[in-house]
Amino acid sequence: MQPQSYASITRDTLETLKRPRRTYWLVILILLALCLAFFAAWGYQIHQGMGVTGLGNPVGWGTYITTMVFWIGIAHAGTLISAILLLLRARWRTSIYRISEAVTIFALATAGMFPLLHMGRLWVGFYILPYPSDRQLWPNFQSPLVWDVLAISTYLTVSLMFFLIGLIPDFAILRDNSRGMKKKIMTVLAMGWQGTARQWKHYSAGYLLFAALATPLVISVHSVVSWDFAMSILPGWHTTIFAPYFVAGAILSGLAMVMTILIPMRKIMRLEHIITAWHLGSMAKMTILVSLIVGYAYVVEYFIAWYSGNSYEQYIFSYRPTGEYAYVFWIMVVCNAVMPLLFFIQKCRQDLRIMFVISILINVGMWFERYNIIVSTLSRDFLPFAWGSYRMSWVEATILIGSFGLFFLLVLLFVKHLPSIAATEIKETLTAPRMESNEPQTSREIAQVDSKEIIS
Amino acid sequence: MKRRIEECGVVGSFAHLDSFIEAIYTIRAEGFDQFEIFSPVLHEDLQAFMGEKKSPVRISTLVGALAGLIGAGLLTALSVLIWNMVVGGKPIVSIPAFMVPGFELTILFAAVATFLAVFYFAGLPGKLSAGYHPRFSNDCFGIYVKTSQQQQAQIKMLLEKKKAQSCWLVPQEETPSR
Amino acid sequence: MTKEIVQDILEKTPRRISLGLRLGLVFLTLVGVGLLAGGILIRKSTWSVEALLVASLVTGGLGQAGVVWSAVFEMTHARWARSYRRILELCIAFVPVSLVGLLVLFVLSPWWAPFASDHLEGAKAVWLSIPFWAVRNFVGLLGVFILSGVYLYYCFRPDVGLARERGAGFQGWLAERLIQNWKGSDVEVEKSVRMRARLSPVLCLAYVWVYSMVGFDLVMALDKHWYSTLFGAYFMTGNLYMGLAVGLVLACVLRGRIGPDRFFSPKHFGLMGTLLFAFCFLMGDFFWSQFLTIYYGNLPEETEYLLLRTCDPQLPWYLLAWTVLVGFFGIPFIALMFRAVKWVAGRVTMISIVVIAAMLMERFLTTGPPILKLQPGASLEEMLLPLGVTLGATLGLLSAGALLYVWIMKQVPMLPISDPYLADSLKDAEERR
Repeated sequence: MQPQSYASITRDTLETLKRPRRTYWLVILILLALCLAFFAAWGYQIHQGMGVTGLGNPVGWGTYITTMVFWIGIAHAGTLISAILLLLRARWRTSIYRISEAVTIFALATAGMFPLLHMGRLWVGFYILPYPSDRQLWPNFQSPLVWDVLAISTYLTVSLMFFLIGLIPDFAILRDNSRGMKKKIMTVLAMGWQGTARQWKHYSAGYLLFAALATPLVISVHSVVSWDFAMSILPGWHTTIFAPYFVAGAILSGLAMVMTILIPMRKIMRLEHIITAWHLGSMAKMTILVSLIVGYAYVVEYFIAWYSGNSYEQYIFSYRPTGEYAYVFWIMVVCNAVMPLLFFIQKCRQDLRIMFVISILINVGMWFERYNIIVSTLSRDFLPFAWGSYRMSWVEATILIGSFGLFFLLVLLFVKHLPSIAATEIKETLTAPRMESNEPQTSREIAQVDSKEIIS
Repeated sequence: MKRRIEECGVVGSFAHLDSFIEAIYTIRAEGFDQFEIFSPVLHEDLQAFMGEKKSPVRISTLVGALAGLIGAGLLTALSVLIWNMVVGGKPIVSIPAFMVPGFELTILFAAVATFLAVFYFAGLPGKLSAGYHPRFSNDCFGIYVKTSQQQQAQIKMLLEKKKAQSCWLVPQEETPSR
Repeated sequence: MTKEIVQDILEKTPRRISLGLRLGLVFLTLVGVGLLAGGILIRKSTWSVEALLVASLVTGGLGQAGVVWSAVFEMTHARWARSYRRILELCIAFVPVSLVGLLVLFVLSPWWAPFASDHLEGAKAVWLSIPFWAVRNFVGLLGVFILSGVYLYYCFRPDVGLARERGAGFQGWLAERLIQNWKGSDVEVEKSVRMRARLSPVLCLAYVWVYSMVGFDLVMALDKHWYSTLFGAYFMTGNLYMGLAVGLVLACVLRGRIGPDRFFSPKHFGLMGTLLFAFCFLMGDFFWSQFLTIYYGNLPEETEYLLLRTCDPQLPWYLLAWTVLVGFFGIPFIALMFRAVKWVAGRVTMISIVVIAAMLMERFLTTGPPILKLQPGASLEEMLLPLGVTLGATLGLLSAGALLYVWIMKQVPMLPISDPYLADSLKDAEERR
């Protein structure tokens, strides 16, 4: 393996932005078609009305809310990897944090569509924003739905700023190493960054502060999402563990999505020496941790439902694994609480194919988790006469699949047009070149230092 | 790139951090304190040249956070008082419920303030310095000593003695090789 | 790890504990045990029960958390935290003391447990039947304790053996047992590292499950109708929070006496302080998540618990509730934001003491109302006096644990000299950032 140096990192970064192969454009076309289907289905829904969905009474929240929660969850890995791991000084984050931050932003952008979709009349969506209107009508700040709007828009804004700040030194690299139109665009984006002592001083202070702000924010966002449910008194929703449980679930799904993207990406873009098996192995270990937390929450919910003696709670928790949506429940349990445990086996952490499959299964499981929580509870209200069931309509299914098209389209456009590996930060992890003992480190060397075999 | 012609100085480009730092100390010791340093990375050894004072970005964050908190308190409390109606069995001004908007807006304003402060204090957006070279974002460290034309030769010699990879005068006589 | 560093550590390790300290600890132990025994045997007072319960939960909780922290540092390869390892590991000394306390409580439970006398129905009748309840919890706690013992064997053994090889004589009953069948440091160190890597996740998992159960059974269940899914996690996280705080206090007291100063630099305190801050935030988050859900749901079986403790003007509990909130969240949250606090051993230790005291009061607040059964209109003294007894009892149990702590301390090196990362923790201290 070639030793890494500052110059080689720059070279690798530029390499990722070279003119893509034809297959890239083919995939882009397919994703565009999915996007088109997404917007066409949405247009159809607007034209026909909400009757084209499977929503009704009693199940008024279905695929859209499930998918919204799913995409917000996906977003969490980005902030986890970029902010929390920065504060925790985990060295494995540098190679992968840029792509995870991009995942955050694109996932949030995708998630943001779903409340509008769910709302039906999206043109009055601005009613939920706090703005001074003539009628003095303000949103109800006691409602968790309004909290949600504030939390998600704050999260999107803060993530976007964090992302941009991180990109500036890398824009400067592109500015200094490109020509023509690209150079002009990068000159504007780099905004005159030149890495002076003064710039680094304020930049590093700001960057750390951003990490410190993003960490409580990321926890609050999915807590607030969970409170959309937990603030009610519905059995299966109203439970105190919901906030931490949702945060852990969000991180689990986010990590899985980042793995799903990174494993093929490093191969296609030939970044194996930057995003090494060690980086992915560390993610796998992190996945075990959050999966165990999610599994803990599953078990504790059951225990307390049984212990409480509350017959409504007991009913909903017996209905989930045995009733109409039993398959949803079992997919959730197997994919989220069982499959990730395979990462305890070293082979599964090293074999990227296995890792890829497990990451996809977790993604599936996390979508079903939200579906399980939302639909099963709504379909079984307190009184049997208010029971009902829900089935996803073709419009909802198209929109669900289309949202993946939208998300992956944004990701793919990003990796070929903006620096998807954080060149500057990776350089910081290398030993600075010195006249004496000038030994550049490779990611593998860093990895070896971490392995436990070293004994003095 | 247009560069101001009245500026005058010497640029040294270094491939190694230790010789770079030595050069900075030498330049300082010789009494030249009008200089700019460029680095492709933030390295802790360079912190000595960032000034003793802590970055004022922190203060902006604090101010932003307080503004967000107070703003959120006013927004939530005053807006419910306009329509003085009990909803969902909670008091009109129910502090636990308003903690959430308060928290979110605190973070939002703090982050926006931090973002703007970083740009302001780091001088972004701005023009590139006359002594900047594209390699300073890639793999070289650079120092640009601003000086009079008479002293250029002396400084150039100093930098070269400190193992600068290449040295050139500003205004530029020739484009250094990339 | 260079030979010089190891030699330096071994030379500075204390082998003798002053008589004054030992006598002081014995005195405090006797006072605590006297308070408890007198109260329980002579007056059959609920004060003593409450005091023993809180003292055992606090002592055992922070002790067990210490070992779990060592396992966490092991699992996460946290280099910077290596110098804290032994200080935290030795906290195991507090666990047997607490187990004795809890055993007494389990034996006496038909007399004091709030759910013992009532007729329970359904799941609670099964789950809270006294024999099942007592045996389940005691066996669980004992199991985690034994597992910790096995883990600690692989922590202590290579260090004691290595020290002996380097000519430093760590003598004593425990030291002798630790190095039986010693096969040379090369083999032993490697084996220990491997075993620690295997045991640390198991220990952490066992801790999480068993201590969540203890939270549900020994604290939540005292309020017969109340339940909260988050409570187990909140309880065991609280122990980890206390464990960190105790680690910091001990590091402040012991630094410079158990090895070279460099292992406890301002930076080391700063990093540990940051972790304490993170747990402060986590505790605040858990508290808030639990509170807000109950506040919003406004269901009688849930709110009763909160109303009694936080806003019933007829009872003094709400005063304690605010003190607890300020102590375990408010003060540390604000103070630990500043580097001027985190990086200075004395200051961060002060905050840690506040945290431990607040967590003690928190345990008193969560268990007190159903045991003490204060009547409406109760005066402040009716709450403060049992709180004082609880404080005395906790100090007693902690002192008993401390006696055991110093007994082990004499027999093992107080810095993990065989740890491959120990030298790295020095590097951290040298960094300026």
